[in-house]
Amino acid sequence: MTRRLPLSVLLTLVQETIEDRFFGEAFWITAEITDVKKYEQKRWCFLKFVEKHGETVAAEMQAVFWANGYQHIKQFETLTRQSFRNGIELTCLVAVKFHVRYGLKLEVLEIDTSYAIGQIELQRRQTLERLVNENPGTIKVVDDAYLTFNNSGLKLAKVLQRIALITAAGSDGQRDFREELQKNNYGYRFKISEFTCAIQGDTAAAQIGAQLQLIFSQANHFDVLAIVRGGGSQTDFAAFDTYDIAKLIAAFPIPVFTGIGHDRNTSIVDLMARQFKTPTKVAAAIVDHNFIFENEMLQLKDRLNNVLSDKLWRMQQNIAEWKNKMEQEVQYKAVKKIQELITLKHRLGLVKKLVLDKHYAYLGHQQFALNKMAKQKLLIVKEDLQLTTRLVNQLSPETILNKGFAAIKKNGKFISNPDELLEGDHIAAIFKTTNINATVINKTPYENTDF
Amino acid sequence: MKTLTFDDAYKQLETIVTEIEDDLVPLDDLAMKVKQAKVLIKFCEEKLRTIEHELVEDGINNS
Repeated sequence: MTRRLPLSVLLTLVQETIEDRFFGEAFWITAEITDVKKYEQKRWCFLKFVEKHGETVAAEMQAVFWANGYQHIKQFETLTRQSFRNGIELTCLVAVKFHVRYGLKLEVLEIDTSYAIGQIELQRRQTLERLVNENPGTIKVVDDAYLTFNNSGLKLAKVLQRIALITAAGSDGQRDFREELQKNNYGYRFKISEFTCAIQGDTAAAQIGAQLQLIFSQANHFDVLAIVRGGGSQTDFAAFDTYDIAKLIAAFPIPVFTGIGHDRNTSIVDLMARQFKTPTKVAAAIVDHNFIFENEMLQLKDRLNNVLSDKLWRMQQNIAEWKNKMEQEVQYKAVKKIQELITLKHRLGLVKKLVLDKHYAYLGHQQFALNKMAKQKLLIVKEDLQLTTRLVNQLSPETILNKGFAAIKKNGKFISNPDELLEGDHIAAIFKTTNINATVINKTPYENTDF
Repeated sequence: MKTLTFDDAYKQLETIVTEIEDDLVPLDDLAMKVKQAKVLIKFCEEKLRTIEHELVEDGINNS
């Protein structure tokens, strides 16, 4: 049987039929969402549920969040730290609604966030497993920690000064990071090269990947790569859980510090890098790192000063010691010399005495000999004298006169030389007791014939 | 000429200090080594606080 009806009547019929069938009923369905269109102001969201079998779309249906259900979108984003976006799989409580003008739709009443979280966690685990399995050279799991080339193979430079920064242009994260570096208490300076890009949303992963490649190509110009985000939506961290970005970070040739701004959860990129939670903390860690270096250097400076003053002190000690030793040595030598001199003097005295004694003895002996000799001489002289005296006595005029001889005098003077007598001279011939005056009659030579 | 990095400077400084501590520096070279150490310290302290400052490797040995 066919009837002619106005469309509105027909559709009202459909509406009534559907309402009859589904009135008061709701159903939990699980499906992927696409074509998400949010109307923040009206608190509406239109979307499509899709069920795929492999690549084939097996079923699809329009759906809508009205104001009452809209809060669940916000709740979902807060709890899962994912944006409500195309491609995610959701389990939702839906009612079947038909509107004569807008057609058949599923009205979403509630989202099963625990399922969503489970799904995200599952996906995250799968991504991590794949990272470890497919990149054994750069990613390893040790005691539940992910040790990557980047976070454990790379040594940090002593000072982090040349910073590559990946952040969203004009974001709070960018501002916080810069401020924290600039206001550091030590006057440290930094060279920040910014590589801005979308940090969230559908294109975030691709944009971050492109910037990472750009930084990679000039890696030797940087000491560290900081990836920071903050402000804006606190929900969409999906880019930091993607396999491609995580793989790039794990093998990145310069150390990566992340401050992606979420305290409760850790993204996969955080696991591959060095995580500092917030942009401010990343900046503070860089300043602290440099402070530690300066401290180490000042400790070396202290060590240098200490060893130098120690050396100086030891040198002074040595000099004092040497001086002391030298003084002692000089004193000792002087005393020794004096003692030597005294000994010498003493020995000299002894020698002198010995020599003198010897001389004295010699002299004594000489004296004795001299005396003896003198005495002998004296005796001889005495004997001679006596002999002489006797001779003299024997030869004296008296003795001669006594013997009957006479002496001749002329002019009162004894004459022993006959030449002094001339003929006619008056002479006196003297005997012992008689004086006879005579005149020289003549002189003749006499030949001893009488005696 | 290679630009001196913080790591190089620190390493050189550490070597000098250790050598002096271990009495490996002859007295004649001591003044030169101390001067080198002071140049390195000054370089690091200044470089931390400027971004343009650079000390070339050859320069430090001649200074």
